[in-house]
Amino acid sequence: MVPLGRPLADGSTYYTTYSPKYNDKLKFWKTGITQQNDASLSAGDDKSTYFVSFQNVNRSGVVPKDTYSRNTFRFNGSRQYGIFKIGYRLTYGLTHQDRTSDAGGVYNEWMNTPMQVPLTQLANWQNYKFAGATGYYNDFFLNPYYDLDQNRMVTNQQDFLGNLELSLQPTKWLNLLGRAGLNSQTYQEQDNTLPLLFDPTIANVNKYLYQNGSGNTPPAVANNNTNTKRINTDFLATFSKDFSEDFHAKLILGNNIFDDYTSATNINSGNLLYLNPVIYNIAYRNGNIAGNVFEQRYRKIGLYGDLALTYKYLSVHGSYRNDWTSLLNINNRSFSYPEVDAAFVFTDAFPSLKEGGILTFGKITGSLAKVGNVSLNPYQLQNPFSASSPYYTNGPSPVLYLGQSAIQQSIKPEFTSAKEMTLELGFWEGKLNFKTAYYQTNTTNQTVSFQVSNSAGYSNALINTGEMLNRGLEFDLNYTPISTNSGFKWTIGANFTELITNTPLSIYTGPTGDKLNQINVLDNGGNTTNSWAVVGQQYPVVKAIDYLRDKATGKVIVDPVTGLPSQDPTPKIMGQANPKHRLGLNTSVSFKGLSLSVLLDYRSGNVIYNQMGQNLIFGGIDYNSAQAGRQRFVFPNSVYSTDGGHTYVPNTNITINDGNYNFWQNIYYNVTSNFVTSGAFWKLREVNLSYQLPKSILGNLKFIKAIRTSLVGRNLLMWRPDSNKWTDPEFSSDTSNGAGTTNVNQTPPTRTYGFVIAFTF
Amino acid sequence: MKNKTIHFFWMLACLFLAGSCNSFLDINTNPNQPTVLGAPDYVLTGAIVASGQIQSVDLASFSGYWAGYWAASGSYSQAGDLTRNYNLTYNWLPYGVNVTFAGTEPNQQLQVWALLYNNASNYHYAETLAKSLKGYDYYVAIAKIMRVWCFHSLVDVYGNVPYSSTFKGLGNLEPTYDNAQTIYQNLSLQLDSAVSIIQNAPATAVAVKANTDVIFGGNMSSWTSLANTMNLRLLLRQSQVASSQTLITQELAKMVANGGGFLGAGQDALIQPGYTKIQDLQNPFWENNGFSAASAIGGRDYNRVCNFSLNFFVNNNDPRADYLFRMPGDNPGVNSKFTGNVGPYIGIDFGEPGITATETARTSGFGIGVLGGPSQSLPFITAAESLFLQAEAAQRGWISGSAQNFYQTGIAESFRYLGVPNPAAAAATYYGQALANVNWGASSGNLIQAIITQKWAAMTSIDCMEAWCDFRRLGIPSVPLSIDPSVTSPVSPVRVLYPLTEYANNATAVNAQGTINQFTSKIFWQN
Repeated sequence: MVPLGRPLADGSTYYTTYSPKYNDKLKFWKTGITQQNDASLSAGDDKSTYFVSFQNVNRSGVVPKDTYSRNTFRFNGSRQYGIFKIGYRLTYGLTHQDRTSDAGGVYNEWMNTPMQVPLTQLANWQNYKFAGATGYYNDFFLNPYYDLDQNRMVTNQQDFLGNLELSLQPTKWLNLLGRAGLNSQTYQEQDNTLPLLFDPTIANVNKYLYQNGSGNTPPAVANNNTNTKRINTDFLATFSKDFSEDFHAKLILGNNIFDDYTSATNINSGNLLYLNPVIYNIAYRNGNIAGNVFEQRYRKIGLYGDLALTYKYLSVHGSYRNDWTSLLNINNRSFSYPEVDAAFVFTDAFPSLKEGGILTFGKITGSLAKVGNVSLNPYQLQNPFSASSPYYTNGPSPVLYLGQSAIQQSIKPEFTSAKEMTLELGFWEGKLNFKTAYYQTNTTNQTVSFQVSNSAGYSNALINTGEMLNRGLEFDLNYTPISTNSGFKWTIGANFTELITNTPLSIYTGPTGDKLNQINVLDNGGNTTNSWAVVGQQYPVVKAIDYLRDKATGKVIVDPVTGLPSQDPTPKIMGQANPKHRLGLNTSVSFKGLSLSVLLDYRSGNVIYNQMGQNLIFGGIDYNSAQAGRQRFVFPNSVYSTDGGHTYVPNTNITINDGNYNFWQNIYYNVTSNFVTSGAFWKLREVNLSYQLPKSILGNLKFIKAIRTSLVGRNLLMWRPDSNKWTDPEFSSDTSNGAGTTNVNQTPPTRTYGFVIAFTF
Repeated sequence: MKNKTIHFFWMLACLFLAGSCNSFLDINTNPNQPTVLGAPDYVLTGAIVASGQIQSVDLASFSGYWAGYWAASGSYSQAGDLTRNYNLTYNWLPYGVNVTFAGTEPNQQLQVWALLYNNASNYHYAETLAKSLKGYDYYVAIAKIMRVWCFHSLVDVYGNVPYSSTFKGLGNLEPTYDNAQTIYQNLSLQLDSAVSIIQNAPATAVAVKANTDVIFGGNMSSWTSLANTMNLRLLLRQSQVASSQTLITQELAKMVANGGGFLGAGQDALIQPGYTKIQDLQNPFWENNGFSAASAIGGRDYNRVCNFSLNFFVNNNDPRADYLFRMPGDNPGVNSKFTGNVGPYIGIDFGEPGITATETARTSGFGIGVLGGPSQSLPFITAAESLFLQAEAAQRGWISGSAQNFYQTGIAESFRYLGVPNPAAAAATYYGQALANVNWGASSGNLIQAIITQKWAAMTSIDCMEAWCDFRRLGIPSVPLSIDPSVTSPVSPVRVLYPLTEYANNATAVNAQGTINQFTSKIFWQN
């Protein structure tokens, strides 16, 4: 037995064995369970239909104590009156969540738990002296169990969706449709923070947290009420005509109006009274209430036409749309975009190709499409002054600060022009199907926010970028080797996607003609490893801080006295964030009601920045930091210079002057290229086993029409390269510009198992 | 036909909206936050408040250590504190900073580079707006003076920095670096210009509101003195630079001509926007080194008293010790010396690794003269500093007046500022002792050393940056090296490295400055 942490003031010390306790660490996380119960009823006759359903979902999270429940009621119906038809859909949902508001902190505290700690024995922080804030062994981190209780977020959400549809069919070839939808959401959130109180009778005065880190902190509460109202109306006129048995035409003219309104009220106090129990109401506080109100509105109007013509084996389709948005200045508000595509079933045009029964289906499709989009938030074209905190607004001197965004006022919609060709082939009456597609998209005016030098007067800029080129190839192959009359069927399939290029061709030209060829598109929380857009490089590309290296050999330069490497301040390109190659393999076997399917996935050609590695280095619990046993060592593959950098000689004997903090924490930690690894993986993505009970068994049960059961497992196995010791690269912190980064503000990756039983009455 | 149909639907859409479509879409004006301002007041005040925070907290967070005033509490893991072993990284942030800069993302601690440029851009905005308004001459002058402070601080920390091509937004996203000496030259001209604007303002000029000018309450003759004092500071920085001597002579003549004088006895430039014991409204030095508004310590005791500083006061029988330091175990804002605790004060050698003897409870924190409470005014430039600047200038023969007189008044002003009772008499007793660097006569062998030493004493925890600049310029006082075992350099840093954000976002410009080394790449005014 060894002591864990400092002795307490009452003389007691917590002891444990100095041996790893893997299960304790694993058991901290719970098996998340989702229970979903559905019941539905549908009925109708030739004039009207009704559908009523109820869904109840209860979910407990991977993070202990996280719960989620949702109840949804739906009522749909329709009724026909001659040439009129009326349809309606009503949905009402109630969602309740109770979860930690500090998942990242809990994850970090858990990671910083050494292996010998019997963590699960420290769950009862309220009553067990060594688990409470005062007696917990760790000087620097709170007990994650305490943290879970300290920071709670409780939310209640009501969703109401109403949809009314009126259609009129005056003649066979004309249909007029009007539709109005309302989506109203009420969201209430309350964040409660327990006080942090140290017990002076047992506190070791030297404990960092007790004496310094946070000290006692009062209880806190924050309330957020948000209301959202979204109205969506459509008007469509559909003209369809069959000119002959082989020639069909359909024209749709439509109008869409969208209105989105959000208002929110936030109030909080970080200094509630120390009542026992704490009353989480800002009325019981010291000091000021902080808060703000907020509202925003966004509107869009669209007008479009869509024409489809089909003649036997040839179909041609075209559309044209004009949008007007409230998000842009009046001159850029209106924008239009067309699309045309055509498909040709050549096995129908030339039936001789089907002779011999090998090639039975062949289709070639081509499309040219332009799509316009505005990716801005309401009011984002303005750079508001901030009064971020209640800075003296209650004192004698009101203050405001200049906003930090340099904004291009002439922001235009972004346009994506896509060209795509697809070839589909079917052999032996569908036994083997093959599909391939090649696409090229050119995106212009992409709206991007990026970091700029503070000396420009701002910390970021919002602009339309130049042009981006994206090219790719897709292959899809499905084969059914066995399909018998007795009901036995085996299929195998593969799909492969190759991202040939996704490259900015130009980024930004300033008013004086100066060109920006690379921009830092993601401010990764002040971190030094970010996603970039660089002309000629795949987008987004991950750049990181590397060691200073000898240009000739690429070896790391160390100091001839201390043996320590140093940072190269210029961020270096590490690789692309999006996978270049994607491969999916699937197979399924079915026999009568029983079926088994398996899905395997592969990704490669990309890198991932494992920010978690830095947290582990900080805690001294990373695999890498233990490799040298905390001893001094010769930095591998290093060189040094004794003539001021003119020549470099290989370093074989100068050891780093400190194998502890001063290397691992002060240098290794800051060289973020150490945490960028291949993002490749193979995954057993999904296995699904399902069984439909044969009718014969149900024969006697007249009211049950079918029973289906299935077992499903997702994310079951994963294989990664040795260099990625950290985590699932698919757990990217963000799917947009943040692609390529994982961090601890995410719960750990999960493996999912499911069981479904469905009755049809 | 198709056109007509579209027109019909369009009409229908607009009817539905019951108004013109443009007014239906003209809703993109932010109703939540101000986006245009009619007057520079609020921004100017915000910028002054921010400057106070940057000087007292962010600049002090390293200069407080390197000027010999502070050492880190042993209650903390100091492993990542690169301030103490000088092995700065490009993304180095000094430890012991608890407050975040108002007006930026919460919890985002920024390097002083970003803070100072951000601050200067606010002054730039205030000046530009004031210039566009009729009669806002005084506002223009205040913004100019304060902007000079931002840029001279930037130069003092980083050397060559972007200056002439800054704040153009999308017009220039990659500002090039200007020569530090050229910047300094221009800063003096800016101060001359500010004085001239004040002195030549029309009678109809808008008076600066008392609660906008949180330093002098709108008193423009005080601003003239502050501008001259700051200019004298800039010129003295260049005392060792031969090529600056012409500028110095010219500027001194201009100051004589404008007659605005320097900040004199009793004329402290203090920032007081209404600091009070409410979250985010506290005096930032207190917020960082005292208590939070909710009375939590929370890391605010990281900065402790350094032995080098403590010994100077204690060994010279200086009563200011009771106002600069507090007894081990005392809470911020309290010194139990006054309630019978005989002490002693206990300091820490800078760089001492965290051991029991250096823990917070066993060592002295800052005293009630500098860390008085949450609503204390924040010193920007004290009268004591102005007098020591004048003492040095007089000693160098730059200005008229008795250097000895300036020197002794400077000491008395420091006593007064810190709250020593009967400051003039107490100071006279103090400098009456026949001690070198205390007594004028006893220091006759090296009077510059005495002046700078006493200036250093008067700047303790008040303007650490000014003291660190004097140390780098003249080597006075002889601040010892950090005793941290991982120190590998025989000298302390002469500057700070440019931040990573520049290498990332303004690469061409920063790389044109060549390789920067914190021990050898000196600021132009350094000896």
